[in-house]
This record gives sequence, structure tokens and C-alpha cells, in this order.
Amino acid sequence: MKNLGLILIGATLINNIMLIEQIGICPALHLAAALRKALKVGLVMTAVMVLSAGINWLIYHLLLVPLNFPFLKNLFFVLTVMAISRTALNASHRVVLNRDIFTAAGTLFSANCLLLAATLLVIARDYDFIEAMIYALGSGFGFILVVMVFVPIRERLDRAPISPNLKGMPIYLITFSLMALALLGGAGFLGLD
Amino acid sequence: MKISLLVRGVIKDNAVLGIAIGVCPVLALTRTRQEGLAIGLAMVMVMFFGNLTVSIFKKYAVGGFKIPFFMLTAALYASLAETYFRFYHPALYPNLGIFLPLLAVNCLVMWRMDESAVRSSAFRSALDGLGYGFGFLLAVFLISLVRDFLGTGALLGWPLFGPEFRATPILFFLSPAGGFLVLGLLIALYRKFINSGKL
Repeated sequence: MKNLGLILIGATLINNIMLIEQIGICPALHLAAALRKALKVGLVMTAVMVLSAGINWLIYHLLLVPLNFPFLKNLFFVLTVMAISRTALNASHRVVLNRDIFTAAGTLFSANCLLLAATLLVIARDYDFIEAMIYALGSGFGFILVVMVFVPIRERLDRAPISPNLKGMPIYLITFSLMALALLGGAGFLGLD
Repeated sequence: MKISLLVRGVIKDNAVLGIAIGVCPVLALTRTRQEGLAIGLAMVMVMFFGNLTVSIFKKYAVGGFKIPFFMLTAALYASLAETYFRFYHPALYPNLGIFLPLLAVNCLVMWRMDESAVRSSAFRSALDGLGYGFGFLLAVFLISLVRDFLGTGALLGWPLFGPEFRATPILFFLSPAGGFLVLGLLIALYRKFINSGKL
């Protein structure tokens, strides 16, 4: 139980999937959404990450490893993540989201990058089933945390008088650099690294 | 004509430095120049063969089957690259880790397949993939050179600023925060050159 709590906090705050593992930067850079929309996107992505990490863990450990086909894992994972994210997208259109958020071409693909990464990380780290789901949940919270902090900063940056060469992507990346530097201070917290 | 297809993606329309897509491996795998070179070459391979394959079978890439087809094609070549690095470069493999399979959903690969491979002949789209792949390789290698130099104090293994600098390098540039900073500043520099019309 204590272990699970540590995994959750570690995935959210210490080894944040965006700032420290540096996966899925594209959605945050290219997703120009208001705070409320960004939160909804983050929640849907968290749900998909938890589901796909769980299902892919089952596929890998109950199907691919016993049959001695672990080299096929990438193909299976891509298919599963794809199917789950499409289903979640169709379901969430009716419940929480307007259609326009996810249909911006880049967002869908780059969101997939983060979804697949959660699966690959739990397989690479040999987590058991419950730990895998908890890790995916923590990663999703980490994504929400970063996006919620970044969206207001971004709004101010877009209005600020910045040199045209630095405007846009470069200054966003420098902002991310400062945020990552702040999170580095959390290393060693509760004995996590 | 053919040359312009190849060159466009390398400098003038560089995907990483121009519009900052496909940046996940760029940030995480540029701590040392060997890592940067490895992921860059893997990307060239995936984009070349991926664009070629998609273009040959483009009549099946329609409707809802399009995106899964792109992803499976890219995943196939990414798995090949992963297997190659696991058996021929076992020292590099733990660092490359999950980023080789992640090439399968990289936005840059998807973008070129969608823009070029399903719309033009196999030869043209293969050249296009090669060009954008080399653009990615160039950007990744530049960033990894800067980080490698400032983080270890030696340019390509040569201690340029003397042994004192090498003894106390700027470790900040090997941390994730350093990666963001270097990429941001290089994008700004690239824009300055493009806007001045020198490239």
C-alpha cells in the first residue's frame, strides 16, 4: 500500500512524465486551449492511459510472454492504444467535450505518443498489474498538473512584448526548462529518485 | 527538381527547428552525441521505409483505416530499429529504451505520411521521407553536440577549453531542463537565420 502511494507521488511529482521523462511535449506546445478545455482533455487522457496500461499489461504478460512473442509487443500496443483512444474519444464527445478540441490534426497523434509511452514505461519497469495502473494514473495527473500550470503562463506569454525570433515555441520551451528545473528540486523527496 | 525534394526538409523546412513537431526524442535523447546520432539514424530509416511502404500501398489507406495503417507501418520499422540496436549496440540500448518504439507514433512520421506518402509516387515520397529524416538527424545531432560539449567539457572528445573546464563542466545541460533550454535557443537562432535570408 505504501509502495503504491510512492509510485503515485513519484509518477506525478518526481519523475513527471512531461518535464523529467520528456515525453508528450507536443500536445502541450500545440494545444491552444482554455484552462477548462485543457482540464477535460487531461482527464480523458488520464482515463485512456490507465485503461490502456492495464489492458496492455494483460496482453503482454498473459499472451505475448507465454507464447514467446515479446518482439511483437510494439504492434499490439499501438493497436490497443489506438482502439481505446478512439472509443474514448467517441464516448467523450457525448459527455464532456466539444468535437473541436481533439480533431485538430496534430493533437490526436501527439496525444497518442503520451498514451503509448505510459504502457511502454510500465512494461520496461516490470511493474505488476496494480502498480502499472497506479503508475499510469500518476502519469496522467502529472500531465494535467503541467498543462494546468502552463496554459495561463502561455496566455500571458502570447501578449507579452517578446522579440519575434523568440516568440512562440522558443519561449515556451524556455518556460518548460524553468518548470523542469523547479521539479528537479523534488528529487529525493520521500526517498524517491 | 529531385534534389530540391531531398533538400527541402533538411534546412528550409526543418521540422524540429522550424515548427517543433516530433520533439520527444529530441529532448530526451540528446545528452550525449552517440545517443543523438543513434536516434537520428533510426528516424531516417523509419521515415524512408515508412514513406515508401505507405506510398506503395496507398490505395488501402482510406477512411478510418488510414491512421492505424500509418501507425502499424511505422511500428514495424521502429521494431526493426529496436532489434538492431538491442543486438548490435547493447551499450546504447538501455538509454534509447522506450523511445525507439515511440517513433511509431511520432508526430513527424505521421505528418510526412499524411502530407506526402499518400499523395505522391513512391519515389518522390521516399525522397521526401529521406529529406525530412536527415533534417531531424541534423537537428538532433546539433543539439546533442551542444549539450555534450557543455555537459562534459569536451567537443567530440577534445577538451577545447582546457582541463579546468573539463573537470567542472556545466551539469545543468545534461539535465532535462538543459535540453528544453538548448532546443528553445536553437529554434530562435534558426529563425534568425531563416528570417535574415541567409539560408
